[in-house]
Amino acid sequence: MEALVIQTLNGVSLASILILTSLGLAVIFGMLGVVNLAHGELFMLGAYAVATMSKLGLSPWWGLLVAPIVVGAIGMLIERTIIRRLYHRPIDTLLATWGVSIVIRQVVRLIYGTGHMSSTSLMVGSTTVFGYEYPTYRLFVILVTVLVVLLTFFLYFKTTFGLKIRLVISNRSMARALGINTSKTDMWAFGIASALGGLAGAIMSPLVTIDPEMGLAFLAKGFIVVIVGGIGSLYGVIAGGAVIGGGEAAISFLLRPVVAQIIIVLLAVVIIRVRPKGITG
Amino acid sequence: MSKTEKPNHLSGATLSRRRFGKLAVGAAVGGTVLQAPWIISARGEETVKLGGLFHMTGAGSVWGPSMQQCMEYAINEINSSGGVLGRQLAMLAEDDNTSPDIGIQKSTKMIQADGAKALFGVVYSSVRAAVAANVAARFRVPYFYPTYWEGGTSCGRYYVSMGAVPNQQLDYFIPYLVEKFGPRIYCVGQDYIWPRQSIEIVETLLKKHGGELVGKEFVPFDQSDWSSVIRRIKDAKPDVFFPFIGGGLVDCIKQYYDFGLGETAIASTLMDELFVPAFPPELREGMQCSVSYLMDLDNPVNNAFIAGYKKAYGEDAVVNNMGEALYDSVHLWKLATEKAGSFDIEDTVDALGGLSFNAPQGEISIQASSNHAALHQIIAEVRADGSFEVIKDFGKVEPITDCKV
Repeated sequence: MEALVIQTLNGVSLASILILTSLGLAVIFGMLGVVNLAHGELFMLGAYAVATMSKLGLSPWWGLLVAPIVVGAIGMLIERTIIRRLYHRPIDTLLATWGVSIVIRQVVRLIYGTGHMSSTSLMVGSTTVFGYEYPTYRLFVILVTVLVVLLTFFLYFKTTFGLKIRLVISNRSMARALGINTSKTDMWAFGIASALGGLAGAIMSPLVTIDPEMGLAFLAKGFIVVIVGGIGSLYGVIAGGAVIGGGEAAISFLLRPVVAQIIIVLLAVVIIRVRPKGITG
Repeated sequence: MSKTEKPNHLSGATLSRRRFGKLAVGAAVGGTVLQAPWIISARGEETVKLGGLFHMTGAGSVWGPSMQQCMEYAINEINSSGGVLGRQLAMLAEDDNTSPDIGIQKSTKMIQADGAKALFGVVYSSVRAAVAANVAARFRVPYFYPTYWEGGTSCGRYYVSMGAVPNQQLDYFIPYLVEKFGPRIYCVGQDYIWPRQSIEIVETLLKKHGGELVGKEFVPFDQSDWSSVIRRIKDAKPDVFFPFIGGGLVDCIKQYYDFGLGETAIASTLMDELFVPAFPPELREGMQCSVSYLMDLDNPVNNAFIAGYKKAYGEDAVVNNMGEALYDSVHLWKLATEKAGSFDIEDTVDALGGLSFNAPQGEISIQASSNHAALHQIIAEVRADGSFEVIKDFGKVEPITDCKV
């Protein structure tokens, strides 16, 4: 029974981590049609925000607040200067965002040096769930993911801004004809997605290595989640995160981590073969 | 040879590496510290070039800069005390972008175009194996590798192992752990040769010393969620958790701490001054480690080395075991060249076997049969502030290897 409860929580927390890290990617990929290879670096910047606050002697909670704001602003800057020129050239965005990712990594090295950073823990200790001890911070990650997903859904489906974005995506020229400033909507959509990436990095900072390369591993997993779940749909991220995260946690426990990784990639291939547009596509 | 002279003032960031190669080193005259270096073309003698290959960018860039400084420091030190056989040394430095391909290109260039007499550097096994086989062995130039490694995968006359192989990190460490914490050890490693070899040796040593390997498992390189692995470790209730994980170690320990370590101690062979800052204080405190060098070692050679190094690169400058090994490598190359009495590469390589050097870690020597260095095994505990408390120095340990020169 204990194994079941703990492993379920492990599965849910891993799925949450994946959903949180892929959400911004899904927004940019699905809605703006941009394959953002710099998303991992936005994630990394979020983690650096927390580490910077720790270094300044402030509470790392400030990092959680600062990360989405700063990274969102950086995202908007990237959109204004680079991405907006490439909306009609999806393949070129691949190259451009890859270049941006290299620039961000090296700038971080110039500012912070090449070494690792660390942040003080946001939360320590464990909480009793169904009679079993589980790390409080992982429960917090699950909670934050639920809130962020709800907030994103609310933003896209219940606000005027969300309506505008959806209109721009479905018919850009009609949106323009109706007097919507599409360029501004693009900028905000990219900014919000970047802020999501930054927040994910900040939330994950107590659990992972903080160095300039940290975003790369999450980028690859993020793309698998988005593609398996279904491109262009926010529900897809949740489905993808649940399948990949839950699957990995279960197989890692029952078999071995190396086997889990092989099976997960095979599973992704099979899913895409059976449902080319992803689970929700 | 203990160095008490301060290194010359040129050792700084003011000098680009390319320029460095063209400059001979000036000396401070009559206490005047001269800011600008000047060129000595006295007697028309050319400098002797040594090539350094460093991870300045890419995944290994945590290690590159300090390694480059250590090489530069050694060369400056040698030059300011008269050079080698009357000739001044010049340092070539190239960035391999932590990539085997670029590593091969850059080191080939240093040998063929620039005429480097020896190669130094690299952390990543992939780059080391590529350079050792495709450059050092091919062009017959000695290559000094300063990083601890699995042993056996690079070998030969021109390959000089200056980092510890598994038995040099584990021979005394395992019995120490068994005695201090208890017999039950759990090992987790990334799924490649270094962890597999090391864990095999841990298992053998445990059997010999009355311990028991209560679990071992291997994980992929980019493992980022450790919850399932940690759950299995906790189920086994080990006295010591001994991971052989490179980059992912921080994630693993952070998450393990979150799940509650309980009574389990953490032991590692890869903790060093550059890696420790990645861990928050509460996580690193009390970690047990086995290394061949620590900045906190208290002996006259190391004290002079650290004082000079900090004078050259600032109070915050950091050296780890790889950096120190690189410093030792340059000095051993010098000793070999002097013993050979010429700059002929074959003579230098012949002279390497059996040489010993009084390094900052203590006396080290080159095993003549394998060209692998016999290194110190030092057991230390990490303090919360990130410094190390040296618990015991077991002295020089000979490498156990099948390699033949």
